[in-house]
Amino acid sequence: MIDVGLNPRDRFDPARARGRGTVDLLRSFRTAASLGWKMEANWTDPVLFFIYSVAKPVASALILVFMLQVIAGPAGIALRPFVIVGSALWSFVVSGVAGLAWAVLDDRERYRMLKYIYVSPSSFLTVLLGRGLARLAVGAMGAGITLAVGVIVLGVPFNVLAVDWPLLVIVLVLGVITICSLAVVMAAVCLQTRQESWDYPEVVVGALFLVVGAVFPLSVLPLPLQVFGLISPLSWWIAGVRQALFPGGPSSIGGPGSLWQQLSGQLNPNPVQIVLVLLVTGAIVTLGSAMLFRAGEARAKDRGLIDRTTGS
Amino acid sequence: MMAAQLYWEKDQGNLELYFAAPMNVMSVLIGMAVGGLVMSSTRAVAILFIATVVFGVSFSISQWTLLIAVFVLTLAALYGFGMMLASLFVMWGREAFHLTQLMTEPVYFVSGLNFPVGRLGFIGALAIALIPLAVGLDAMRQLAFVSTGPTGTPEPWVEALILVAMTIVFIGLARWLLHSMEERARREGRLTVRWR
Repeated sequence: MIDVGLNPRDRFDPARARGRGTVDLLRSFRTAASLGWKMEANWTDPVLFFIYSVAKPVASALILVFMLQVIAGPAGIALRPFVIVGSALWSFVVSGVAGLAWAVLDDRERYRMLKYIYVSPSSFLTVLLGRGLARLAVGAMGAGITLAVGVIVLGVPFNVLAVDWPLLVIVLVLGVITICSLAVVMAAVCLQTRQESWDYPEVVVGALFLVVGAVFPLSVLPLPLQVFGLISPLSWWIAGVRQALFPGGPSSIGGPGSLWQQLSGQLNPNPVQIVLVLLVTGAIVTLGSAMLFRAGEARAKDRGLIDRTTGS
Repeated sequence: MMAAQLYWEKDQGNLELYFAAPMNVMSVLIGMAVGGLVMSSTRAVAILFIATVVFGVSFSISQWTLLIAVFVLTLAALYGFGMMLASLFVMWGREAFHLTQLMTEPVYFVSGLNFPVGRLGFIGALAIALIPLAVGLDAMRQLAFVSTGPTGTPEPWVEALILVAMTIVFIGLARWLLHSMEERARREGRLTVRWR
């Protein structure tokens, strides 16, 4: 090799072509997250964006609280923490699951950039996860404010000293991973579908809403639907957060006559059981979503779907 | 949805075609409304069927004509309201889209979508005076469940009259707003601005 005397900084760096592994992944993720946040938030000033982010979850929670008040009367006050937590967490699920799917649809149908992102050196899944992070953050903010409104305005009894913090942290981490996994599945689906895919995340999440005990316990459902609820990690996540924030409160998993009680002989699951089941079901969903995404990505590439715009 | 339709059309580059075509934009919106009306009615029929067959909801209707009239008037007023909001998208893009998204859930709340609007007191009364969804829903509930007793809201025929007034006002305002927003958008060159 002939050394032409170039400054080392001017020489060809092979790592630029073959990639720098984790460093590149982190950079792609950071850039995608930053882009996603700008796309979500830069249409207005921060105050209006804050109002926009919290209006929907707060109004949803108020609708449920008023429904409860109309149906159950004064007895419904005791169930407010149950409804408020479920409603707040559900807005987080909706935002998180829709985030990745809409990133695919936005980039393919509206901005027509998906093909360029796909051929860039960045990992496609990493970019999508980064883009979805902004919506997840907005959902988290909405959920937090809804809980705060529940405590401050609606008088939900909350004792910060009674919170089971280790349980809360563990279930939150596992829950976020699960929600991201479901979002990856929706992104894989939206890579395949054509017109009017925008509502798919909401439709899927709406169907899950019935079986995960978000605003009513699983025990009120027919037994076959309770099975779906028990194998869904979201049910255990919501139950775990409820248990952590309001220890000893009503459980969405168990209760008299529930399938859980028939299977385990216990009225309600304890925190360890909640974490273990969440871990197992979450791991299955996460692994399954990774496989589905790879299969979906390969199918989309094979059939030329990545650069297709369907005018939806 | 009615309002956001022009946003999607603008982003896809169709809006300039609508304005360049030899027709009134309101006729395009009315065409879209008819499509939406068919979809909404289908969905409503499906929900009523499931409610009746699966959940055993029983209706007690004595004034069919008024009920049908209120249903049609509610949709007409709602689509008029939607057309009014649609005019915003001639000028603006994402800002207007997000603002309509922002309003959706709070409007559901103050309209008493899942509970009697009379329970909201003054806010409910205000909603009945201003929001077609609130007044239409309340009138249809009163007409479909005759035995529910006093609701604290006006009689159904009064609410039907409110809906007639809303339909006239909203469609008139939509016509004026669409015209003035189009003029303004032409002057400022915003009709063809996409993705923002």
